[in-house]
Amino acid sequence: MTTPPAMLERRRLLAGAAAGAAALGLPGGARASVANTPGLRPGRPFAGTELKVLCVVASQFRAHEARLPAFTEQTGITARYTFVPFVNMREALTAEMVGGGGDYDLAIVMDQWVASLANLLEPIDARVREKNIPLDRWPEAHLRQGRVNNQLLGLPSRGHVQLLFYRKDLFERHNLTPPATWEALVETGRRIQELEPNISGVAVPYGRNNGQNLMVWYNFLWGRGGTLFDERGQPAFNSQAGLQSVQDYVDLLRRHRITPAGAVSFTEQDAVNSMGQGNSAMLPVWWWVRATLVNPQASRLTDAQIGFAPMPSYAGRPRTTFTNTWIWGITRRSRRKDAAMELLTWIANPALEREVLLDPRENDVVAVMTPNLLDEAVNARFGGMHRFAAEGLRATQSITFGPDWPQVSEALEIAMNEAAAGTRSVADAFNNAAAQVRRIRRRG
Amino acid sequence: MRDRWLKYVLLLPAALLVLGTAIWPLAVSLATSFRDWRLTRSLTPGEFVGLEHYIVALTDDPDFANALGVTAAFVGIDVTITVLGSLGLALLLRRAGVLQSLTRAVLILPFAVSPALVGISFRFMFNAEMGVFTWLAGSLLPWLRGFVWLADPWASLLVLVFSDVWRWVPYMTLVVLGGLAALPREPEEAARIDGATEWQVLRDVTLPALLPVLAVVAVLKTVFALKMFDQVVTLTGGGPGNATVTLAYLVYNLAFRWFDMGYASAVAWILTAMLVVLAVFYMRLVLRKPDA
Repeated sequence: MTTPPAMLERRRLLAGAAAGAAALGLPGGARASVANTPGLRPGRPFAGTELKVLCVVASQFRAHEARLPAFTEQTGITARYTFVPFVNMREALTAEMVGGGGDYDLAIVMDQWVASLANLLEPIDARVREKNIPLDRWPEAHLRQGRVNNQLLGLPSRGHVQLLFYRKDLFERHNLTPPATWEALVETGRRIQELEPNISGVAVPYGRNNGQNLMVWYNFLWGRGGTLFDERGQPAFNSQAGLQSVQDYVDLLRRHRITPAGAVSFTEQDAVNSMGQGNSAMLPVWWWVRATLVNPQASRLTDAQIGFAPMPSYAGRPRTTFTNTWIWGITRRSRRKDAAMELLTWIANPALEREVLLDPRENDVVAVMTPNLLDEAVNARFGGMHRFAAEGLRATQSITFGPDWPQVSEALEIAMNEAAAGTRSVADAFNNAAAQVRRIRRRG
Repeated sequence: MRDRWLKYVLLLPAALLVLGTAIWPLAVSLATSFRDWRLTRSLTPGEFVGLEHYIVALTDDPDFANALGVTAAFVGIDVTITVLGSLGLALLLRRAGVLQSLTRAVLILPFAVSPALVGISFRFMFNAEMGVFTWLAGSLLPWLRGFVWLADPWASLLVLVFSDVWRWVPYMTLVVLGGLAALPREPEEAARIDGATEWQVLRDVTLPALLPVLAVVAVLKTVFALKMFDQVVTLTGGGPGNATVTLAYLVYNLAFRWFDMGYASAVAWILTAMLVVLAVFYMRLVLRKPDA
């Protein structure tokens, strides 16, 4: 008897959760905590060392920074975080890679940049083995983003999945249920627009900004059975399935008209604002956006008005999610690599992530470790959001981001924007993008 | 002997500063433009490829051709509106009066705003759902109601021009006002006594005398328009499609997003060559001796 792949996946997930849970325990029954991290070298051999950390601005990492005294107490190492806004992060990392003289010991890198910034980071396979850090602590969808050419360059620390946020109050008022399929999403969007004439069905970004207009579409592509590239790495997104998935995606705007008219130029932030200001009833987007939607300074909605569900899919197809993963890596030019690995070990401790998730002063949902995604207390606090995330992560596909990804992504982003704006047909825009990608790959 | 060397010694700090901060980086980027250097492959420049990058850019790169076309269209529209707008405003503000003086003082404010911030502000003001300009245009011209400005290639280019004109026209108005103030009043008064209308005075007396100043405004604005970058990043992101990707934005993408340093340097040097030609033209205009 053969075991169905979904069951194998579930077993693998549970095994990962068990391994992660075991990692939370220390010999002698002591429970791992921020102040008691498994894997740190005994005897504080690096006491007195100061590490420099290049970090993107995120409340999660501010929370880590606030807990650094616990790390210092265990190791004698101090760490100084330099926070860089997201929009400047890639330039900061590039500058460190090209001109940095080992200014930073630890740096965080977004998945889409990892391959092109591979020269910045030191492979850490041996160090991770030495520390006995179980890699099944992370879902494969996140973990694979830290690997380039079969070398592990970093460990996931910040990761996002997509969810469908919806106006719970409107759905309850009109007896609607969150759509499980794209077809149902269109129907629900239409229904809402009939019942609430001033509200659009769903806010989706079709404008240009760092590939944001592609991120929801990937789920359409996978749902139609398409892929971005074939086995030879050549464009496959303009296959029949690929073009149909683009057509379905832009039809939300152009044919079904269930998005705001301005969505054709929306960035992700515009889409979030549209829902936050009460102009749209649904929003497929990253889970961290919940914090924005309940922030009274950025949104008119309250926690009670916002519901969420896994991303829809095509009927009969598994739920998927595009992922966004940030990995911590040790810089090649660091002169304090051993001490940096101590900090990485402390950050990779599931207890740290859990403590931040359950801290009532914090409101960031972000988690990347399976034990925490399935943790009862974490799910109780966030209404089961993390279980949805685990479900999406289990079945999802992912994209291998090669060093030319930024250029490839730009070609796709332009094509999507042109198809949405109607300046080119779907086939014309994506066949043109395919030609561009072939040219990019030919140049090498 | 001491006097002979002193002037060079005094010049040395400034010369070293310029050498270190301008000449040296320019020389390195010129050398880089002749090499194959992808940061994704190597942290140091690769093999010498001669003029290959320049040839590819000028003959076989649709992105470069598009950016050149966009930049040319942007510069043409932007400079024309800026020159005419600043001339018109300067003529309006030429007369003495409390209101004129106040307006002149306020004029400098848009120029003090960071261009990146201008882009972000205009993005909000042209937002299809809540933008004040979108609402205003739809109210004044009903056929524009619901029009998504940043989704149309030409409209988004015009919005980009508008944001730049808003920032630059007031400053250039002050420059033209300075030019107008330097003109002798007698020829205009003599023309009026001879029965010329205000339009004839402007066309036949004022404008010919003001031409050198307007030429300086045009050349200077062309130089700055060629470098258009900040608002592209924050206002249009190069879109829709690639309808607002200027040369400067393309160079940024090539170097800092796609890590192709050699090719980016070559494109940057093509842009620099254009700027150098204009700068020489500008210097000749400024330093030209008045006709005897």
